[in-house]
Amino acid sequence: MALITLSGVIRSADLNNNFEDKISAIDTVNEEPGIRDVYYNFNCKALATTSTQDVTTLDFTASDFLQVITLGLSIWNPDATSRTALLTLSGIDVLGNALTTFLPNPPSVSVTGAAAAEFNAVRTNIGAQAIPMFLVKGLAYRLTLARTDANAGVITNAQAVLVARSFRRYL
Amino acid sequence: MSLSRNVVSFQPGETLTPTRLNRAWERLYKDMAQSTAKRLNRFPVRFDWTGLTNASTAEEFIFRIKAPWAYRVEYVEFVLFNATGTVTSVQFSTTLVNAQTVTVAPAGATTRALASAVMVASAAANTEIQFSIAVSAPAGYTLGRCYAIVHFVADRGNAGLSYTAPTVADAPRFASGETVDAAKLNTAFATYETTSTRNTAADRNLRIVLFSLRSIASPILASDADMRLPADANRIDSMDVVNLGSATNDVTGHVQSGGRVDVATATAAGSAFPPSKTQGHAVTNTQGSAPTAAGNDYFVAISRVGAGTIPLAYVVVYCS
Repeated sequence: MALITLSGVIRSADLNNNFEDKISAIDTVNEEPGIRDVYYNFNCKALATTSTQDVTTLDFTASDFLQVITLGLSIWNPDATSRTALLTLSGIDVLGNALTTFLPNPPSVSVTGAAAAEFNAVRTNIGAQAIPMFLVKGLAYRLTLARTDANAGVITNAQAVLVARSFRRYL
Repeated sequence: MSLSRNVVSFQPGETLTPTRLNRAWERLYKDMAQSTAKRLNRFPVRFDWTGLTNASTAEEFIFRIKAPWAYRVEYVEFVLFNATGTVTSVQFSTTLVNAQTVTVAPAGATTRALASAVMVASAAANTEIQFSIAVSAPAGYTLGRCYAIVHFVADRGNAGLSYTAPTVADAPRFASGETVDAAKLNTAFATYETTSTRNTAADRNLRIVLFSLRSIASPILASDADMRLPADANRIDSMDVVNLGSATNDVTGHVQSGGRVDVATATAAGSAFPPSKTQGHAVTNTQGSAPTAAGNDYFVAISRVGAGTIPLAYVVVYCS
């Protein structure tokens, strides 16, 4: 189907064709998922068991209505001492206090390194869960890095990333 | 034969009345307006100014973005945790058209200070925009953790053009007794064809990714040298590399595929008059789609030559 140039006596079929052509184009677009992914990421150097909020968190507002796909956590461990990092996504209020109303089951991922190397956490496919998890546009969230072991020394660099996805039909 | 979606079906031999024609156009207008309203693409970019002091040079306070497509900024969140010394306030600003400033005062060592602003600020395609901060302090200072989350909006349907909100031409109106002119109808259909084409094209993921390093020693530690891009089918179009290093302290920006294999590099040489910029370097590479597999991640990386400390270098990657 394509637009027909009208001239002279306008045929009803041509007029119907042109309207239907544009409506079909709209339908085709509306039926596409229109996936658009975004990242929220940050890193914490020298992640210690005593590291404080100022270096272990990233606060952000969801820029769209987003489905949480996965959390990514990578650490560079400096030596053979075993160290574990935990990355958590949680909801917060405007003052930065914890808020579980809109994200009642905060997802998290952890990784342990026991050598001088880079280690990647196994990324949970949050996007494939039976009940999808959404970030609501305009609400505030926090990514938090933490050490969950009690061993000495620091994780040289911990990198956190949240992959979230918007769908055209949900906008 | 599929069922027509048009609310008005014109019949052979029917007298073409303005009322029915207007109804058909009005319905098309509403459908088009609703659909195009969803073609915008929102994404965040984090700018980091952690660790700047009263001795930092002016250029260290500035990030420069030169996107190949027009965009708008609609919201800025500005966070400051700590500032030793005599900092009274820190102000975020940008050279976007119609931008607002955002000012925050330090609240304590581990206490978050947050300020934000809603704005309708815009940039035309291929226009360098500065994102910077200014510190008010009567004496010496050192900033603690300091970053801004800037919320961008882009319109794939208008990529390359000056940014405009998605608009749909008013539906044509035919008055009672007016002769229905085929030319008027053709013009209206052609206008909607243009809007429809843009609406169809606006299904890609426009995004800006920024990776920055400060106080870069030589050599760069492997643990500091890159940032991961999970594989989510990005088409990586181009990159900028900006280097504040002095002469002979060159910086190379890398876009790398899984296993840290270069797919594109661009170099910004050190200069006596920084910043040194290489902008719009073509990358033209598409990621796979597997964000849950770290082995498929891409990387944005920085490498360098020379022995001097580079105060700031960053790579900006433009995706669609």
